[in-house]
Amino acid sequence: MDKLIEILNSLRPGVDFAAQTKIVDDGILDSMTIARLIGLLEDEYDIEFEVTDLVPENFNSVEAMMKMIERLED
Amino acid sequence: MKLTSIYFFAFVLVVCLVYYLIPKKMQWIVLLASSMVFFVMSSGILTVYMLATTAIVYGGALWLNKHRETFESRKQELDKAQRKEAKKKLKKGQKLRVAAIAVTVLGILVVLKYCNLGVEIANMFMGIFHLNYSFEMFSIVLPLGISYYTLMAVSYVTDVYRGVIKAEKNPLRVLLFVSYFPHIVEGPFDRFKDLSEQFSIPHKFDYDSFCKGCILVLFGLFKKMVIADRLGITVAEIFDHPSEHTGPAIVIATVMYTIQLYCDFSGCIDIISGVSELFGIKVAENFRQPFFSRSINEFWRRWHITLGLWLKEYVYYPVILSGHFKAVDKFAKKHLKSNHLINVVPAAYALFFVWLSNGLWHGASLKYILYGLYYYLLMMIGELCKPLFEKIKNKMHIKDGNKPFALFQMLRTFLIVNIGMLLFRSATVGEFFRLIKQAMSSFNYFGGAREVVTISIEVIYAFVGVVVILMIGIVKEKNKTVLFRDLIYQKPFILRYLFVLFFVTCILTFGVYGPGYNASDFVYAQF
Repeated sequence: MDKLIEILNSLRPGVDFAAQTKIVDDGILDSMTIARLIGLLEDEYDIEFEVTDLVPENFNSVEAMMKMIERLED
Repeated sequence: MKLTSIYFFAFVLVVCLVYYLIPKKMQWIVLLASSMVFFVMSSGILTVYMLATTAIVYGGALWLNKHRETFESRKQELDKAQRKEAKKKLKKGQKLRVAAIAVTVLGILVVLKYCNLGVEIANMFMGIFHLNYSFEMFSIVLPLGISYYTLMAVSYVTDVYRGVIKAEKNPLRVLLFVSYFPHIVEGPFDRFKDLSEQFSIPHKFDYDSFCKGCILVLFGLFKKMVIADRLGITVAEIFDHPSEHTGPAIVIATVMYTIQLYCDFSGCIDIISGVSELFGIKVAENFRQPFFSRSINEFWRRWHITLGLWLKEYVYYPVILSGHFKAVDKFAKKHLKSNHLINVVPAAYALFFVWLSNGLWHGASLKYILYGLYYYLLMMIGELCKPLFEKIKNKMHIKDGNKPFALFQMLRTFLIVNIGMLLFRSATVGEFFRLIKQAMSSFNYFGGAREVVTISIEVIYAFVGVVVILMIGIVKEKNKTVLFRDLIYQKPFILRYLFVLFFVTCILTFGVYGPGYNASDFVYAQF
């Protein structure tokens, strides 16, 4: 999880991502940042995203992102 | 059949009567039959294009399903390694199939709608290379709502490919989704998963929903007939003879055109949504007070919302997951030193396709491509300069919630949108630059306003209408969770009916209609 927060902070410095539950809904991550985030996550966790994974619910909190990553790792 | 004509509402009334009188299981058949009647009356023999598109996506979706089922049935017989290999093969096969279907469907649209763009580009090159020859434009009549139904058809088959929905076995249900008469004229871009269930469930006549639908229709008619068509008369006079008018009149006409287009398009969507609600079917939201936007990005999340969502789902996401995007991402990481640039460059690459598609969707002409790229360029400049803007904001101690700053941002966005609209309204790119030059030639806006009012004094009715719409917009902005028609409906009986009476009176008194008036088409219907 720390690694994920580190990645998120490299895109949006100064945001306390662990405390957020509406990261996409509140506009902290927009579709431009998500494009970059996907590349970073694919490299870091050796996973491959599908378009159907790109829904706000999967990116609204660090927990949701972690859950998605674990699912994609399987 | 024009959406503001008495024939259209008579048609809707008849459909409504039959819809609620027949057995509920057959309601969707009434919608399908009425959609077919509506389409044939509007497009005649050209309906075959829509039928062909439906047949292709219907068959294509079943083809995708069969391919997937074959894999599923054989899966159990394979060991882990073989299964992995087969899954890879399945993925590739599915991708190729969906691409072939989408290309075929989009091919029909491209041939019919964009062949003249090819001629325009060819002639441009002929001019550049001083070749004394120009190709003649094709004269092609387009079927009703070709861009809308084609993109919705593509979304259906792509959603089947993605596993978001299952392939529909009944071809008539796919035909209803593609041709549903309320959303075929100007959208919105609905998705099969949102409409199919609504089409399937029985709808009991509900007086309250019916009245709310009528309020929405009324609201749309007010926007279209009192504001858009009234402004349209003056706007057309100025833009059809720009050399006879002063710079300030051009500026005022541009603002009027922006409001005209908004009231025309969102008015049409209100009529469509209201009519659809009469059948108990909710179509997607397409506008959310766009002129309260503080940035261009926000504007496009509030204006023609479903087009933005379609482009995001079916252009932007596939691009950011593609191999070529990953190559750009890697290139940026390797060659750029600034962290900010490393983040911006790949996204800029992906967004280029979105805005090019946005421009192309609006029309088969170079000016529309430029229209899309105009917004793209502004957004990219905004993204590149973000750190600089943040620094300036911090130095000036401006916080995001600052109200005067928010107002400044709204006005800035409105100005940018107006420049875009001027390009949209201009016949050619050359004329756009001529009009910009003319607009800067004088700043006597008092004289310009007098000039505009002289063309048609009745334009004042439209300005009063704009104030009404603005006030309603402010109420909507403050009550984001409640629909405006629900707010009206919650009011006491007398107030509710006074509101309805006000709009009916305004439409009858100040609306543009009657003998000698040829109901102008909705601007977005040409797409």
